[in-house]
Amino acid sequence: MANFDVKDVDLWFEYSDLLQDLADVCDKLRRRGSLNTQEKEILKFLAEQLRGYAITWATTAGEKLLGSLDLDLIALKVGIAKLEALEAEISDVKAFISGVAEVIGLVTNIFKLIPSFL
Amino acid sequence: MIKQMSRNFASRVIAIPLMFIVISCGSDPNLQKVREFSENANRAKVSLPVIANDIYLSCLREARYRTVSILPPDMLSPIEKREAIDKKINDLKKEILELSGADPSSKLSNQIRKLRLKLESDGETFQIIDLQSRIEAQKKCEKESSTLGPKMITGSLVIILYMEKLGSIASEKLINFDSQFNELKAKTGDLQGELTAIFNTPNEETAVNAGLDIANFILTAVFDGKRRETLSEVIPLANPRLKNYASGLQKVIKRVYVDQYLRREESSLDNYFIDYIEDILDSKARKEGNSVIALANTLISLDQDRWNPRKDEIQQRRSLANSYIALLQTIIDGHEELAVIYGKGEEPSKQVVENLLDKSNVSLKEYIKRSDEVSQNSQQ
Repeated sequence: MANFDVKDVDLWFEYSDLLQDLADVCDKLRRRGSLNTQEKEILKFLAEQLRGYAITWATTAGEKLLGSLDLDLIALKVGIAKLEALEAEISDVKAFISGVAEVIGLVTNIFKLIPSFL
Repeated sequence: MIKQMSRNFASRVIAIPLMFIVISCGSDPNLQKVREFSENANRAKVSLPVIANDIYLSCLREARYRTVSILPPDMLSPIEKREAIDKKINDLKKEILELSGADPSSKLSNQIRKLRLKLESDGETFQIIDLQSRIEAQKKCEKESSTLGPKMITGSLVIILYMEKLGSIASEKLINFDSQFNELKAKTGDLQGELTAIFNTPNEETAVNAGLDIANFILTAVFDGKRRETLSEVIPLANPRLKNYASGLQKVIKRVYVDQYLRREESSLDNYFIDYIEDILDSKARKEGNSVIALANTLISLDQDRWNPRKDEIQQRRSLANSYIALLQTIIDGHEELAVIYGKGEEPSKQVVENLLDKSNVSLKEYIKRSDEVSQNSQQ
């Protein structure tokens, strides 16, 4: 997988499929009655190894594929930031209006105190 | 375990795909549909990480199916064993060579060399190798399969967060300053009352309220314009990115999880039970002619109670993956449709909203159904 190119990702998935197919062939051969225990064990071992490699290749290809799409994720995050900026702007305006209302409330309370000084 | 992971994940942010479509249209076209969609989306968000986490879990389950023969295999002489190892290694190299059309990479060669050393240093039978391979396979899962799932979850989170923010921006509640202006009106009214009482000035409350209503109207109009502008900018720009990533996610789910992990798990499961049954049939007790009925019952029980249910579970996970792929496709298509509309500087009509809502509900329901099946089996 050293020379893995994300453009070839489908090819690597196909390789993985082929390895799994080969492993299935090994299993079928293993079921033949004419084989001795030693031969069966070898085929079993080989099938497990082939499936292991298939998984390794496919997993690595999957990771590389998602890794190659990181820029798309970043672009989506930029979109999220723009939406959040608008959201924050609106929240700020709401907070400002509430703040003004609060100040008016305070002023009103001060005026309420004035008659007691008159 | 899956449920626990799901719960942990669900406690974080997950959203309601396409929910923004529902509320961006000014008024709800169909409140019942909206409520249904919302309920489904809330249930679905708990199930979304099941697949991503199951990549690692499938690997672990498969490792547990590495069989150990019931009966000791034929003992091999050191020469026979060396020959067997040589043959294995050569066969493996040959297969890989044929596939890649080149020499195995240095990493692969090293793995093969290590494997050979391990086999040669093992002085016992292949039975011991089998036990060892199970342990090593589990270790390999930790190393190899535990990173892809979290990567998928991270990607899904960004998509979902993006959808959530769209929903939040499109919400009518966001650009609604009524409660703030009502508060302001009330406080201004109180102040007017005090001023009138103290300075004996005419009460201007009605005029002030009218002014605040105009301010509210203008502010709402300004931000409504800004919202339209933002959505018209963000949605068309994000569309190819969303499509790319979601398509990549679909491919990974199909080609890695379904075609590789679940396939290997099923093959190993089949081999486990076939070997088990063959060993029973070849056993000394069987050859000595012990009760055929007892043996048949054992085999039937193995088949019905243990083998078939496990196969059904794998099939359910496959269906869950397919419904997740369909759900992602619904998100892609829905967003694409919106991108075209916003790209033209327009807003989606009620009919468009209703159609997208129906499609989303169908995909969500299907996904929830599959997810519930998998969860029920995990609990059993």
